[in-house]
Amino acid sequence: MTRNIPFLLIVIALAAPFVLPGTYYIYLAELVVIYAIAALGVRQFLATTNQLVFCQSAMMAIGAYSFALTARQFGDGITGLFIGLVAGLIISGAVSMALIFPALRLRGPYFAMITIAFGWIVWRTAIEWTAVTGGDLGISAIPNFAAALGLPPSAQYVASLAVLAAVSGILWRIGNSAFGVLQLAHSVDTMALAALGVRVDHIRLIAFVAGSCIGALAGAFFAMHQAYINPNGFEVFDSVSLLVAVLIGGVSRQVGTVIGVIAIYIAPEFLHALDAYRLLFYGALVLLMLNFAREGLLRDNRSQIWRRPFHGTGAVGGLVSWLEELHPGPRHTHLKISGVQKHFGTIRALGGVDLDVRAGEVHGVVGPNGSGKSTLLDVASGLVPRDGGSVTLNDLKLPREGVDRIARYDMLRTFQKIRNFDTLTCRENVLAGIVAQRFRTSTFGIFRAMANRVATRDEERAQAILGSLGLAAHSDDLAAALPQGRRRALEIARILAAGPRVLLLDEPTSGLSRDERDEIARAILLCRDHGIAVILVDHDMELIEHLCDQVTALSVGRVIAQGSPQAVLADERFKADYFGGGERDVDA
Amino acid sequence: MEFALQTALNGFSTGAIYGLIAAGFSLTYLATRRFNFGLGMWVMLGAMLSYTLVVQIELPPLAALPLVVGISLVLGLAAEHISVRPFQSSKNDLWIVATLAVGLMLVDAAQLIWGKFPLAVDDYLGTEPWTVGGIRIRTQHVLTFTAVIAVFLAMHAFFRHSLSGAEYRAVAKDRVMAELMGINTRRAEQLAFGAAAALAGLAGFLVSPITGAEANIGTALGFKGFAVAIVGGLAAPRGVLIVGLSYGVLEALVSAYLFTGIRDILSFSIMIISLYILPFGIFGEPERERR
Repeated sequence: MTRNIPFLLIVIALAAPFVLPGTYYIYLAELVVIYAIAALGVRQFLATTNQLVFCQSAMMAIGAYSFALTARQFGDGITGLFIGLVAGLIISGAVSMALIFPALRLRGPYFAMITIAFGWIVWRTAIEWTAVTGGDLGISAIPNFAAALGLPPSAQYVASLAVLAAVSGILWRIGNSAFGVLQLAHSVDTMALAALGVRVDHIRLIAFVAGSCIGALAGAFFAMHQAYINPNGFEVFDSVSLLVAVLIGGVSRQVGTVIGVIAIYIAPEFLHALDAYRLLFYGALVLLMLNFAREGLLRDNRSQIWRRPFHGTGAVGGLVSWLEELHPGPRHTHLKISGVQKHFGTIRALGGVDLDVRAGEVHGVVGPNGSGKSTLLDVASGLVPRDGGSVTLNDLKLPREGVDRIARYDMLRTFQKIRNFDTLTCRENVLAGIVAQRFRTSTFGIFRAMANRVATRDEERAQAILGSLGLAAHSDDLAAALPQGRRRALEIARILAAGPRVLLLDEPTSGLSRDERDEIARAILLCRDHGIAVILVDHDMELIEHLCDQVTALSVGRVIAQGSPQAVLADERFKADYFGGGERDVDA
Repeated sequence: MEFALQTALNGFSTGAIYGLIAAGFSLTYLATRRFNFGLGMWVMLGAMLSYTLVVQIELPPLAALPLVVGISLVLGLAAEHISVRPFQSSKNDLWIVATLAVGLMLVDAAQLIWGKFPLAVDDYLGTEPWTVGGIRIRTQHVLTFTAVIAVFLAMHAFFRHSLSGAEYRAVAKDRVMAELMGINTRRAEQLAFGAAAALAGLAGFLVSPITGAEANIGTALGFKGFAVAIVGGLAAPRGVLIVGLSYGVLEALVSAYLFTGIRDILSFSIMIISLYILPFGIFGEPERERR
């Protein structure tokens, strides 16, 4: 219940202008509502990608100018207003798409800088392109809904409120959908999500374009509110203010964002004595806040979906029934790696490696450190592009690059350094695997995920799969809180939940106790028995001998022995290479 | 033709300033993979300090120079302490906001102390331009260009031939490994940040006779310095100088022959496009992402 108190306070604050005397409060409250809309766009992008964006006021400018110019073309009537809004959305959508599409691979400070530069360009263009924007003089006599309908100015405030409610409602609904799971997972570990086959680029792109369109919408209402726009309200500094509002309120909840906006935009109105010190005041506030209340005023690490209480019925089966449900009947998987090469600079990591795995087979890869085992998995899974050779799955040539692309062929991997969604619970980790499996295949799967809630059955399935790997007791613990061995089990549980046909395991038992190792071994055998083709890289020769049907021994990127585990482990060259004593050609 | 040559020569000195600021970015980038987003404001601070020391207190420029650089260094170290250090492990890159916030505070403080109007600083080597082969060139342009080249040579010598320089390069290459080798990475990072502020202070000292000292000159200078650092390659200080000089000339010619308004739009567009097609810059080498 205490969770709802901030929300109630906001409702009261936004309703207050209706009863307060004069129009000043309405004016002020409308401004806050408009900035809150824009800030929700920023929050949404930040919460999905953990990336700072400094061009929201540029998006507001695009929305404001497009709206004002278009609405004027179509007369000041209500139709013109709607056409103006649509124009703002379309133009900002197109511009933000053009901006983000090439920037998908840029991260952190580079991306922040791109957005700053873009914000600057838009602002300068508004000043210089006088023929269209009116330059510093700007555009005046911008129509609004209240005037067009012949209603008092407070009607325009109601319209802005309705937009705020609609935007925040839609964002809330999406956060609650299956897409919300992916969104949250994306913010925690993008690579781990890509390894489940999810188009992480699309998630980022959608988050940016949606955030920008929301900004443009706010910009249009800003133009209506002011009835006059010029480049002044759209400087890079204004974007910084919006971002600071989001950070002050706390990224985890929309309510926090609105509170942050109120704090940033209302306080100065009542502190006119501070005008000369405004930036000093902001700067100090930001530094204090970042230093002492990192998570913002409203701290909450979990989004809507995760707080939903879970009442499992136990009626859904675990791993076995999940694997059978995904692939009923016998399978004919055949992964063929032939002549694969990889160089890092002048170092040869793989010099033409051949390897075959079929459904229901465990293929071990052994060799000393630096022999190319991990590189082989990296190349096969698309994490690093191969320089030569080919990888085919059932005669289908797999792409050269892209973990998520290859994962969509149901070829999934674990990482040598365990990757889980650390700040999500174990059940949510597995749930992310199931959701990824459901929605990754089609191009528009992400949009389907937005429209669908997480099925209770999927939550129960996640619980049951945890049980199959001995993690039932941990289902509500954060992944980061698990001991090492359990974390590995969780990673495998999540990957299996995502339904692999081919499973690539990179040293799954390193650092595990005997019992933990045996648990992993049982899971691998289970996979084998259900027709999954497994490639297992490990240093545990007992495990290799026990589990594998075929073994390949690598040395300095080349195959030196291949065959049954007994034959390879007894091979003289392998023994000399692996256990030392013999001659090694290069120390890689 | 003479006009073009003169414009280009002036462009060299502005370009040298961009190169200097860009070197500040790459210095901190190499040591910490971070940089001061408000670095341009530190250039402004250097310009303001130069005005106070040279015009108000009437110190000889040669005596003012070490003071400007020293004050920038000390303030830079202090700023690192509150705006970068605390966010070492934050996943949101909060240091970007924090360093920007410090920059904005500097702008406000400068307006309170020095007012809002541009203050004139005379060329340090005399206001009478030199004439070489019919081309008149301001002494400040010559001084700026020479000083920047000297600074780059000094930095090169420091990193190649001194022990501290080697330690710094070790931190830049692999922070964890350097730490294991007993290098005080914390100090190297802090110093890099302070040194960037000092370079910015120097840039402000050199640029103030050209642009005048004004609270708002920093933003554009800083972001253009960053643009130059990106195009040249953050990890390649030498490339940064070359790109800075070329960009200065390009910008001077564009504003002389097209119109001034397009100048900033041009520079930021170049930066965005360069980040798209050459994320590591012309002279930088791609670094492999660590897993």
